[in-house]
Amino acid sequence: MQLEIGFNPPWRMSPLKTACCLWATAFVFTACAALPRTSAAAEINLSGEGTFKPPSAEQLAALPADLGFSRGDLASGHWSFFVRYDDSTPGATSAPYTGRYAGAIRAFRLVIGSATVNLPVSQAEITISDGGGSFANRESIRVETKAAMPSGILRLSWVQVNQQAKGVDLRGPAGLLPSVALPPYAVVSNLATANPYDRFLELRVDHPGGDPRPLFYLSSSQLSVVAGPATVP
Amino acid sequence: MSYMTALKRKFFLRSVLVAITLAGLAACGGGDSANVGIGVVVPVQPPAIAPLALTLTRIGPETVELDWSDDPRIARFFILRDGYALATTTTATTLIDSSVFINETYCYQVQGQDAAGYLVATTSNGCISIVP
Repeated sequence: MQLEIGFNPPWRMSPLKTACCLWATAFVFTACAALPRTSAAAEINLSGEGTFKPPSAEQLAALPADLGFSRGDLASGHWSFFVRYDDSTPGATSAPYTGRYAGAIRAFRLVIGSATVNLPVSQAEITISDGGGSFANRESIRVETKAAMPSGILRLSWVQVNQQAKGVDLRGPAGLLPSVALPPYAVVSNLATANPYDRFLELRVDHPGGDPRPLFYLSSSQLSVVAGPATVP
Repeated sequence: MSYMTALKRKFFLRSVLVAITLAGLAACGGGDSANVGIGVVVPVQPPAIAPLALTLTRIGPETVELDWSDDPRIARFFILRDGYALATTTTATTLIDSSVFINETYCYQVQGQDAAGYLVATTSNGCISIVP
């Protein structure tokens, strides 16, 4: 027994049927292209906002002029950050129990007061430490970017450190990070640290010459941070 | 005493003995209780300990600022770091600790005492790690 499925090639169909077929095909392709690509997207939006204690007059006096935000912005005591990163970026292990995800960050933005600063991502990276760096009792996630400026080197970091007592070994499956793999975005945004003050946003501007004392330093752990898949229209 | 019956005399003597015993006990003291009169003990309640809010902020690579809330009963604040006395203030509710080092963790607590020296308020123990 042979099953035959009838099929009329377009050149043997009527012009009306051909037009309908083409329209339907075009509609399906257009709809597919217009749908948000959430399922295949590996890009994650990470954002946080909160308050900081406005710097002292002494700190403000030392503030370089080319940072993109003013003393008035700093007096607002409010800041936020936004990072878009690709969580499928392969990492590199530069040191034992440390994973570096250079090139994963696609956008890094800082807002202080009413000033928005888009920071370069060429030097941005995510660093995962699962008890590395001679501190087996410490796990950390650091999302960081650096920018060279005429007055110095600006560094903005979202840092989360889960530190336990000395002698506790958090490497491997122990602790919150099982490895140096990039953790789920919910962990990148909110690592359950042992101390609430060990989750902080840090902004520092260092002297170009390498003086350990920064030109400017600002830090706050009073932040609310969220993350979720980026939807690309 | 001849007007007393033997039963009444016995009861009277026993009462005197009990009174002397109670007076002796009261004279020995009763810990945190105040003694008023003979055998009457009025306990003194220590003042209630109110919670204070503590905020730690790293304001430099090796500098931590402490800020805490106030309470009108407090005459002195005692700032403890890792359980040891770090500083004392009377009115200030902020302290800058520049004696911290990279890669160490420090735990702070602020305690408030009233003019009589009673602990009347305290913060929880707040810890911060000084990471590079």
